[in-house]
Amino acid sequence: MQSDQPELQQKRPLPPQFPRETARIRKVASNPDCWFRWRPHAEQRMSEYGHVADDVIAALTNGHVIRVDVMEDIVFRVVGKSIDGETIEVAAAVLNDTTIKVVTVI
Amino acid sequence: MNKHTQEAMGPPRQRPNLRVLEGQQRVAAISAILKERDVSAIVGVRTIACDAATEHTDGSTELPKLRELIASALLSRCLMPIRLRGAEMKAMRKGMRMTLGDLAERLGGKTAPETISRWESEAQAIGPHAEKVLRLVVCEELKKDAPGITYDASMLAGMNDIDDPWAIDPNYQINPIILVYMPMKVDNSVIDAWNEKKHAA
Repeated sequence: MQSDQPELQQKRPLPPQFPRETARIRKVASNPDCWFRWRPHAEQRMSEYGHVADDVIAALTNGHVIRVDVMEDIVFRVVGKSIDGETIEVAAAVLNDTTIKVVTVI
Repeated sequence: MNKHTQEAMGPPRQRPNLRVLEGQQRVAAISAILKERDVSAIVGVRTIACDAATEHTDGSTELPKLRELIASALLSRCLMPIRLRGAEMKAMRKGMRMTLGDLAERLGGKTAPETISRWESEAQAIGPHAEKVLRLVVCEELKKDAPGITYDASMLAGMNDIDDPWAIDPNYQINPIILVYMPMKVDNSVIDAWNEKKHAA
């Protein structure tokens, strides 16, 4: 019984690092009136990986923010699942309540 | 949480829609609307959007009514009497936001998700009857989001000669679907919708 405890502790998921950012991007991405801006690099990567817009939107809607980069915009690195359940990492910036810029897909 | 992150969480930042260049000349930060824009990577089938995409100064492109654009492109592709490729079938399933299991169920439950996966990866050819049923499911599912595309189930029922240009030329490139964003009269009201521009004969 005691020997199982460290193993269980290891399997316990880490608490989300950016809960407010995750909630924000999920709320904006799930809004049907949300506008998406696509950077050429994102489109290039989507084409390479066989992802379409709905995969990226699904990942932003169900994903977690794992990193925040301050660049020209404040870019959230989101790890989420595509429609088929594949893990996708998306770099996206929330520009306002109804606009998301998809910077790239990793 | 740092200052910048807090800023991102707050109300939208009001950025002036102007920027100052070297000679103190003010120019608008929004670029012009693009005459033509290839949106194949976004939609999943070869598509060009006309007179609608806004290109911003950072190189990003914004498309109006994305959901309707995707639905219109996929519906138009379904109505083309040319065999569907695996990647296109996958794009259609994703456009309907369905998993392999969901689509298998919609196809009547007699098709296994593994079979659909093989169609999509082109490990197995889809039969003509199954392809027609698939087109019907896609059209019925997406028609509500594509008000600018004329569709009737009889259009698919009458589609008996489906062309397979890849049988002759494996490198054949299908003509892109050209969609124009324009005001249209739908159900006695005028709305902005994506309408297919037919290729010249």
